[in-house]
Amino acid sequence: MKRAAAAAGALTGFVLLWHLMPRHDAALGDTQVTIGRKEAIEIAVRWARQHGVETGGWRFAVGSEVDPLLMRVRRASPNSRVAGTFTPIRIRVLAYNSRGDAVLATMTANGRPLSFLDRRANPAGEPLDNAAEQELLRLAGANAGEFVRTADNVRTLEGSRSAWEWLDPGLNGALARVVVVTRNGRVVNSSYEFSATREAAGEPPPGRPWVRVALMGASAAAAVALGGLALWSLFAGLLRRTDQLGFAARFLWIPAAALASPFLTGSYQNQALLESFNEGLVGDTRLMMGITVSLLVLLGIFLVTAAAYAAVPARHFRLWAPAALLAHGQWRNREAAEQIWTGIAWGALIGAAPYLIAPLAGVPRVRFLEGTALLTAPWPPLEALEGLASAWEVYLVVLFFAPWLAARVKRAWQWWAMLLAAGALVASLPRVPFPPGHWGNLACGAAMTAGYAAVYLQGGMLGTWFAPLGMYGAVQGIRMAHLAAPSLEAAGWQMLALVFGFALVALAASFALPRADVEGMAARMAEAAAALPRPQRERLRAEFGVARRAQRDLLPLAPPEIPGFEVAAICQPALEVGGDLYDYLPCPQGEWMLCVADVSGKGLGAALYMTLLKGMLASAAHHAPALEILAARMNQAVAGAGRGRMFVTLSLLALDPDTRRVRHLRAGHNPPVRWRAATGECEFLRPRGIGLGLTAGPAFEANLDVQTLVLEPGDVIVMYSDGVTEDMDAEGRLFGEARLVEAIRRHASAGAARLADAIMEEARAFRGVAELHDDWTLLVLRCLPAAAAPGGEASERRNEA
Amino acid sequence: MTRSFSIETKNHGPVRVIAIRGYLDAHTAPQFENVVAEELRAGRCRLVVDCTDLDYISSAGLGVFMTFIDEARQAGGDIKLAAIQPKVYQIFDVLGFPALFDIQPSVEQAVARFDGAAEKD
Repeated sequence: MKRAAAAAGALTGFVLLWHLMPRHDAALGDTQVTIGRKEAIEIAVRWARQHGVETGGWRFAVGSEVDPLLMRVRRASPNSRVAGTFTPIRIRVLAYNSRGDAVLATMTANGRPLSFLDRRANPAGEPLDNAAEQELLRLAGANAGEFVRTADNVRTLEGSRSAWEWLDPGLNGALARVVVVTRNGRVVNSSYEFSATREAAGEPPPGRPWVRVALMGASAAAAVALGGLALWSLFAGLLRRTDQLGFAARFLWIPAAALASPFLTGSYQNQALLESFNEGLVGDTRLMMGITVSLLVLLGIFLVTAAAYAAVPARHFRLWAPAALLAHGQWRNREAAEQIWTGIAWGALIGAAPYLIAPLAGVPRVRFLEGTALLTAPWPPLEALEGLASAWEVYLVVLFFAPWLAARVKRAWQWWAMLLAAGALVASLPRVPFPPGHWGNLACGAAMTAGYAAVYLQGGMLGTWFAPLGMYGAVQGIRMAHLAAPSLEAAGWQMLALVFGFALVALAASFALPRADVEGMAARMAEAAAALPRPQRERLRAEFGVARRAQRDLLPLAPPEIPGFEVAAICQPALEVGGDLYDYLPCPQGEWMLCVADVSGKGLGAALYMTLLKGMLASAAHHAPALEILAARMNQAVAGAGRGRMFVTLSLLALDPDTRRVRHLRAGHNPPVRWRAATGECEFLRPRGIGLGLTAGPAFEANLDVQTLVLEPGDVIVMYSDGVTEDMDAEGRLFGEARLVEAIRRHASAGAARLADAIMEEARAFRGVAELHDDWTLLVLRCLPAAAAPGGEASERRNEA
Repeated sequence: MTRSFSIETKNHGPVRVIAIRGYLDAHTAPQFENVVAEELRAGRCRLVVDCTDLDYISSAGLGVFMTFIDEARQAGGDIKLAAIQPKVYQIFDVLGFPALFDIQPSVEQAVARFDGAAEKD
């Protein structure tokens, strides 16, 4: 209920804020884009045809571009006639084909031609008379008469260059210039462009250079110091624990997805193509560069995540636990879904903040546009904030310092103050159009940091990782809401669908999925963090290695040679040392005892009891008492030693090879399987019996039966520990008795060793990628078939018996 | 691999019912152990463990029952098991638990066994 209310509240808030956002008409005035992608291409095709270029079958990239100088001049002198013939938003259409031919046509926001650039490999066509003058008429239209010729067919490398200028009569220092370059009587490059001095744009004279240099140096030093601290922390952390690199690597896909989204939805390609054209190419150089930069950012996020994970204090484990649960494969995890959608929603709010604050403050006006990506500064003091919305360095500061600082300061206000200071420091780096140390960057950097810090506290680590995705989505949505012709960028809708689709899926999942054990995970993280310092851990590991070898040495080296029988056994410990045991013990009068035992629990403690058990069995076998007495003694010993905290299950066979008679005792152990060669069928051997050490009272003896059976030639008995039947695959399914029986049936006649190997192989195939979670022990006793048995002696003896 | 495990305790008359869900294994047994220890320390020794949603129990999980059964009985109470799923019951059964523990098909029946004992007292 609470979450439903929160979700409804968030949605209502979004709708309200969306309606509060600055309206396009009020904001952009005559700079609104009135044509869409389709119209822009049509205009460019027509414009190219007039220049003798047929673009049938070519491909097109459409982008928009903003002229900040023109915007400043129009703001400073709204009545400038020259500036009034331009629009601050330009639309650029790049037409190109697979042979490398390309033409670029630029137009105003309402489709009036501004420039044409022919970059075909072999420009051909009919030469024209007065091509340059005709181009001036096309570009300047009714104002052509105002232009004064400043260059007349000057020979350049590109061709003959002609130029005209129109000085603004009302504004000193502003002019429009038409430049036309012709080659062989054809226009290859023409432009109608605006130019103005700093004074005409109403700009203050530049500040003192040494101040700028000092500020730039200081902020660069701050960034290096912060980055160095993160790296130092990472490597210092590596001395204490080792899991942070693996943890960060497991989550690299999240920032990778956020970074890849502009590429995947195609919103980056358009821009990249246009920019690569600017550099004299038509190709994907910009795209490659964008991908390279993204990979570097990814590396940064990887290092920072690892450093943060190494530093995070116990009281923040809850924020990391849903991510840690995902890392352990628990995808059905409501908390993770909650964090993800919370992060996307907060990210969207941060991205939208500049546009939301301005109208709330009563400034419903978009003043400035930058690049094709962002609409900037609804309100001048917020210009910096918007520029910072996509600043990865501010994001990285929070990613690392939020956990790192939490481990070092106690009070909340200290955490906030230091975090905001770090964010402001990093944001004070030079950032176009602001100088280093600009107060707007400082203030807005702190505000942006505060936003991300709130994401961290509200949406945890997953939320923080997903926030950039929401931010991209919000900025894209706002941009489309602001441009009258959002179809200029076909990829915009895909981007929006991707981001908000993701958020909705996460929101739905946060209702549908079951709760995960966040507390338990946080507790386990605390255990891992409290792990011993590395040198001690190394020493313990070495000691475990010794224990493991010692334990392996306790298991019999080779199967015994029992006339008429063959034996094979396999034991795989799940942890470094295990609690399973099997043994073969020769008794007086040629009998053999074979056993499989399982000490409760795993690890060193279990292994110690295993050793104890082995000693008891060896001593008992020597005296060869009745199985009931042996079991009762062992029960007393285990109950006494374990003091009710541990127990042992045991399956024990006493075999008389001469008579093939077997006495079987089962103390709480998994029932062994007997396969009969005569029928090919399996049966479980289930005499009554309680685990050793479960009770010291008379209940043990009262509930104990010893079963006697006689094996026929070819018969097989398989003893095993619960690790075999409770072997789990990655989905948590158990191997189970049915699969074991099936495997025995298939391979029983192949011989003891091959049967054991076959069962192990089937278990391994079943387990797949899952890890062995309990000791896995198997012992096979096979009575050799009559032909292989040592003559008729055995059967005679059996008859005697 | 992490598997979920959770514990919920509530009163059912004078009897304390501990409902355990999910996977009780070496990782989760300490949680369960803490809860049972806490109950006994607080003097609540009539415990019914509701196993309706218990999906798996390992030997470490079984060890918890062993650890406390004598203590509970000495204090005049008991730890009774109720509503065990067949596949989990199989594990209890193999080990011989039914001979040592009072296992009932439902929580109500397990609680009623305490009531019967109380009347006898």
